[in-house]
Amino acid sequence: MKNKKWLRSVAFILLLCVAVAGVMHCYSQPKYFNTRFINTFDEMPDDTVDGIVLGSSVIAHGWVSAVSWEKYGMAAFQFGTSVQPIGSIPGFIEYAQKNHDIKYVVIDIHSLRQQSLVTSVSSSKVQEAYLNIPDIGVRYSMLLDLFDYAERIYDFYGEPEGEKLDRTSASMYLPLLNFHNRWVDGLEKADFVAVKNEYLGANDRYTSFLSRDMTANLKNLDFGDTIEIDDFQKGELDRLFAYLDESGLEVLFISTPSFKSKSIQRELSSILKYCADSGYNTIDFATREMIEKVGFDTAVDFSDNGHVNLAGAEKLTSYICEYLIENGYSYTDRRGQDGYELWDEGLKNYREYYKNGWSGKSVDVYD
Amino acid sequence: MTLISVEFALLWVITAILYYIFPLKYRWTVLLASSGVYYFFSGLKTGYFMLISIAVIWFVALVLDKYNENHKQYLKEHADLTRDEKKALKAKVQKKKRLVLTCGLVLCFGMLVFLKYFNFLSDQTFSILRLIGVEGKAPKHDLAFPLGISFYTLQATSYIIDVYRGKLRAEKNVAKVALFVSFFPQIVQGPIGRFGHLAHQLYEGHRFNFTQFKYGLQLFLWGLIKKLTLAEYMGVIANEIFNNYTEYKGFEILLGAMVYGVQVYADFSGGMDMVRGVAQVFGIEMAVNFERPYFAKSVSEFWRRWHITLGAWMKDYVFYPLSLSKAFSTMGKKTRKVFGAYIGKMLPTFLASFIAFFLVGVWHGSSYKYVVYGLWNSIIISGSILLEPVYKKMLEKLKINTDCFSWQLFQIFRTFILVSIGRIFSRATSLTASIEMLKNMFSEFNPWIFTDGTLYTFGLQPRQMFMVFIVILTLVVVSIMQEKGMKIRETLDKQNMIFQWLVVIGAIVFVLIYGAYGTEFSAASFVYQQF
Repeated sequence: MKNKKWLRSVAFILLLCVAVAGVMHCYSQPKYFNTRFINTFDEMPDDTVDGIVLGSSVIAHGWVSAVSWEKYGMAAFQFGTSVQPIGSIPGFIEYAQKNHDIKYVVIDIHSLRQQSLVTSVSSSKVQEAYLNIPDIGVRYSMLLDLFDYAERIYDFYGEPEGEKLDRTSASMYLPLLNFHNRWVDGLEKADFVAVKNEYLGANDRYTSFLSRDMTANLKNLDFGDTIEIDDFQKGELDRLFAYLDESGLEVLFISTPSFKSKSIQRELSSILKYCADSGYNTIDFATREMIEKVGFDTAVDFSDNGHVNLAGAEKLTSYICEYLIENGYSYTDRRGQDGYELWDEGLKNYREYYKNGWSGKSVDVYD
Repeated sequence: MTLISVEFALLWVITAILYYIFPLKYRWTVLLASSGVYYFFSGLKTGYFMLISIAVIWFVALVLDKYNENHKQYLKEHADLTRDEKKALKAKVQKKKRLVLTCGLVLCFGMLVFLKYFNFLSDQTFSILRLIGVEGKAPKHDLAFPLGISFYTLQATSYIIDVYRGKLRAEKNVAKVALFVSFFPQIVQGPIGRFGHLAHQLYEGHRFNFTQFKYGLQLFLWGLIKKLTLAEYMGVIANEIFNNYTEYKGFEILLGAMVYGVQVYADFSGGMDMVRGVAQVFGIEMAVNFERPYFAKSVSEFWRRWHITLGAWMKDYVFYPLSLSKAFSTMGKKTRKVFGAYIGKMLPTFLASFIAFFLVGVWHGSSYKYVVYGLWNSIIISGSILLEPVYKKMLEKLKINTDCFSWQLFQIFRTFILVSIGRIFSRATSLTASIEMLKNMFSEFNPWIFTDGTLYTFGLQPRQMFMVFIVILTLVVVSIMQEKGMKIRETLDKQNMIFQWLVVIGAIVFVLIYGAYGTEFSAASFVYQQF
């Protein structure tokens, strides 16, 4: 083959790669409400995040980075995804550590309750947990960790009847293979351009400003004594403890306020107790005492029996920040320092969003 | 391992690299090794049957070839033989050859019949025996159905028949015979290659030819488009109607049959394009299996354009040998006396056609519905030949211009409908279901289903329907261009480079986005691989 033909072939392949990459980009940004925060996090200049907050949707709803920044100059970002598998926590931490010097992590334990474990390793939850992370290496490694985590769950609790996370179908977790059929529903701007969350990752869905009276559910917090959690839960926590100890991170385990059934609340409290007994700092917000101490208004601050709205989230965030400061976590007030302009901008956007939301002007960005 | 899989793509790429690295003389060994790998990953256990077929045809062909050569040699050495002596000698050799060929055919077809039809035949036999009071459990085997056995058996037997007829010399190297039978792209659904056309292409090493390479990739891409952006979506509608046929009536059934017709064409011809594309990358031109069958103006023409290699096999090894046989010739003389010149002359031909189509039907599977499918086509073809004089008179009386486009369009549409109705037998879940569907089809007149939004209730969403419409339109335009003699890839090759790139990259992006692959579809399987 002549040189000219070789050159043409190479040019063609390059152009093809560009086109395929474009298609892959459009079909790898599903509009999951919890994952756009990744785009925002990704824009942060290097070394401008000190701490991360991990957990399920309770964290996506409950942590407001704008408040931690506004009140304390605390540069802490949330990584909450729906029923976030505990097994993906190391992956998230490593992703955050790639560009930032992470000093402390706050971890919610909701998705370790038995009822959530199998759900947490369904393909949709797993995809939500790792899919929007732009670093392919981290993404792949998280996926492999999640397969291991799922296998451990199935070994202990048995295989689910329905959907099962299957290592042999790993190729189906390639975004393009999985999401190419989304053209049927129509692509929107967010699919072509990575739309970031403009409020420093604060919940930007309609539930932000939804109030449901939870006063009557307070009785679910009176469940009596804690119980012993099962061996799987202990084993996973021990595994996580080992990882966290090795990483040298300062850790706080929490259970955000919720009003589910007494048995669930007892289980959550028991998980947190295991963390405390293992020597970690913990805060159980799902007690009458803490509800009062934080100043939650059960008639106003909750969008449902498991999640706070933004009014509740501001209180929750403030309390955690104060706890971290008072307990000597590596806190530095970053306000006014160079490189933190995006935090100021995000705060400004958030305040406007918050004001408009409660005055009824806010709209769900996805509607 | 299927054509649409990462594993197959890897095998293809590795084979292509090795093929062009190896010395010309040994390139065929790369193809053989890859065929082995393909079969290994697709179910090694059933590969034993293929090995037996290879051994049988290799040995039988050698013996037949020896008879042929000895016969020729003898005639050369004994040029003084009288005509009668020559005739007697020929008859003697033929008798021996026929015995060897029969053994070969019995062994090859025996495996096919045993694996494919034994359980069905056993069931049927015992059902009949039960009617006359004989009780018993029908014996059955639980052997897996070997990959591609329906296709490679025909290919293998055509080789020994051609050697028997003296058309071919036998291949001495058993490994080369193995490659002819097992060449990996064609194993699942053909095309049914002939030794005379395919073997030398496989054995002689091809130098890298950029144009051939490019054309091969383009053909594969075109097949992929047909399969993934048309066949799979059509399959959604067809599956809905055929699997829930009791809920549908009138035009809904007809729609199901027509949609299935499009599905099976896009699926099978798409698969063929992919197979031929894979082979072309190695410089091998495989037999064409489709020539725009839905442009056929009669059912007989349809069968000359549809699954051409199967039709040609039936024609060469069943239809002609039967219709030109002494028995049929004698029968023709008798029928002419009874039914007159026209019909009497045709009857032996109809019988030969009837047997050929019966075999076509049976070849598709062990079920009565396939038998009826074959017979439906035979009856339509024979009927139209018989009634041809009547048609001619009718057309003359009605003064219909048969040279114009509208009449040809009518003929095409009529053929499509007749073929589609026949497809009800092959696609329905059983013969009873197909009869029920035909009854339902004529039980209600509901043409409004095409206009009242019913079309959107068969499983495809409006955007998918629109995309399918675009693909069908493209397919029709491309087919018209081909029908007019245009060679699409050559024409594209003459365009500006940027335009060529845009077309190819556009097609790749199109199939990536709109292709029906992933968890919701079964794109990896082809309709014809089940046969």
